[in-house]
Amino acid sequence: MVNRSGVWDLRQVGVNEVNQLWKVPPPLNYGARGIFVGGYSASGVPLNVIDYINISSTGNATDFGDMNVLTKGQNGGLAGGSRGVIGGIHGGDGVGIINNISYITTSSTGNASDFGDLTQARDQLAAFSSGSRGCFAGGQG
Amino acid sequence: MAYYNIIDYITIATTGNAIDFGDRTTSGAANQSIAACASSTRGVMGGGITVNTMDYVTIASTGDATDFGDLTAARYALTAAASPTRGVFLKGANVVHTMDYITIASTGNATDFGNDQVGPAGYQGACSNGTRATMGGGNGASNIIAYITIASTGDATDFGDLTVGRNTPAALSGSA
Repeated sequence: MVNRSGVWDLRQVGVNEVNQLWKVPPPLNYGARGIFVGGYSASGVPLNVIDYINISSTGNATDFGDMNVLTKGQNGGLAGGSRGVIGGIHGGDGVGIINNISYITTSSTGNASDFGDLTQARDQLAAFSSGSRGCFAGGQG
Repeated sequence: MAYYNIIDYITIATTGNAIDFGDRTTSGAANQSIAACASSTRGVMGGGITVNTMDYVTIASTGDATDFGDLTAARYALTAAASPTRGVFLKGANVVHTMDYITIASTGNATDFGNDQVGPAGYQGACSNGTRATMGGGNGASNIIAYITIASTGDATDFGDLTVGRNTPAALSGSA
């Protein structure tokens, strides 16, 4: 990224305009840190655990934090830049499917926070993103 | 039980409720236990109970999905990951080892990628760093993490273990 401070002459302005150096790059829909969120145990218990790995290496996962709601999994995760978003949550027996969307900051560690709601409570959906826009598709409820 | 072919969208950098995007081409149980992968412009959804279909949307727009092509096998409880150009649909509860790949920017049927004999069959979560895809958890509350190199068509390799074995984790990747 160029240094935008100081006084620029017209040649410098032209070079930066031609090469689109003014623009901040859009967030990527992938990153170096892989994160696994929630799920359910062999006995069917919903979990709020979040793990992370460094994808370019190998080795065991490390604790990241906790989901803000228990999630039996069957949900979708997507990301843009340093934000990860999870939706399509099944809260386990007695709770059922909820329309919560949660988010985390992937570059830190810590617990998830509330993002908002899906238009329709459902799970077993798919999630994907462009980096700036995230989509949740399909599902059942 | 109800099945939904709806697509919602959010602006990731903000918070707030999701907004209607459009509908998938699929109906009924074909919308359950699906997976998706994306480039920066196109999202491709595939699999479901128990179909081999894929459809796609242009993420920056809104509107209904369009047919993309077919997976090599009907898969459900599959997972997916992508590089900026190639998408990979991984395994499934009913497809124990095989994986498929597509070129996201085109349309057409998927091609065999290779096998994953490291992790379990289906109910995994997958994410990528743009070149490597990792698959974790899965059927039987597995704690196994495996990986593939997306640009290749090779078999999966052991990566390590999750802190807790579990079924159906969500997976995503972002900045470290």
